[in-house]
Amino acid sequence: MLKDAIRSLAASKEKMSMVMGGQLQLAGVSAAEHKALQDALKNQDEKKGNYTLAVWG
Amino acid sequence: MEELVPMIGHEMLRISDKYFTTEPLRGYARAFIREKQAESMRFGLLTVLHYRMFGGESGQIYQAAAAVELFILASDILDDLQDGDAPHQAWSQVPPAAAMQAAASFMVLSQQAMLELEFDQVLLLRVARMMNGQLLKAANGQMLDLMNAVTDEDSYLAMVQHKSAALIVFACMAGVMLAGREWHPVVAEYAEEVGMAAQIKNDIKDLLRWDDKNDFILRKKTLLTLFLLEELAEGDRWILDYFEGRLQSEDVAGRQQMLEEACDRTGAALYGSVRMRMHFNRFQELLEEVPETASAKDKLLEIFSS
Repeated sequence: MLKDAIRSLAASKEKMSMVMGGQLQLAGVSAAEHKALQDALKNQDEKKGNYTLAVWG
Repeated sequence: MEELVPMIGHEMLRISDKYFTTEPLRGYARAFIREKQAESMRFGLLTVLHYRMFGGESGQIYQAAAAVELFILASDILDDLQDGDAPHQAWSQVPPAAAMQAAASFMVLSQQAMLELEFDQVLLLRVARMMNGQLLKAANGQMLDLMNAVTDEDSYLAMVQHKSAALIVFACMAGVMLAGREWHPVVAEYAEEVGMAAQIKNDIKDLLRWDDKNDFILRKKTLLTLFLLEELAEGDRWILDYFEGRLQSEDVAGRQQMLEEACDRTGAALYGSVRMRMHFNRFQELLEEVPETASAKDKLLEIFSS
């Protein structure tokens, strides 16, 4: 499940790098979730409020 | 598309002057419309763009876009009055009762502007029915948000679908239907998806800012705060204590960095970012299913990035 996968990634920088590099496939995470996760990890600045994603707000 | 904003603003003022004939309503209305025009008119632009994408050619579409924007303006005024957190806005600088009356008047004016379009009457009735359906849906969501009635992720997503997404569906579908087409389910779906993405983006910002609009300070239940509260380590229990009222705002003042660290440690910020991207990616996929959008995809994305 996505939430569990994110919690385990948040606890391990190593796992995060592996997902970014495509070396780790997370169990229970759909293809759409995996793609969004990789995009989000590649744009870590988003969590500081700096967005590369074009959606108004 | 930005070059169309003055045309929509002009129509808003024209309709306003036609019906608001006495002071101070006339003056307030003009001031509020000018302020709106200076900020953004993205909903009206969506109406114009969808009308053109689906083959519409009448110049009257600017009046329809003005009708859409008049409703959005009314919503903005009410939202700011309810939250009391936008003192710089023109409507926050007049007596609240006057601002409330102007908002109610803009809602009726919006309907009148739509019904006065010189389009086929059967078509106009269909559009008016769609318009009211979406606006009533948004009213349900706004009340849920106002009362902080969200209890879990499903109820949060339902609230956003009502409150935010319904207004974007209204703006897009007004253009589609005025061009003579029926309700378009894929347009409705992509409008909803982009509305969800926009709201989650706001939620990320509103959790990480540190002022009166911070969702944590306001104890607001969003996708991110719900995630954050689900599994807290012992050292982060103060977050739950604050949310459940055992701590007060003065107890947590100055804990911005601690909150940011908790968002990182728990993955709350990453979760928000992933969910936002999922909705935006789905929006882009759905765009591919609507051939009418092919020629204007860049313009559509331009509106969403402005």
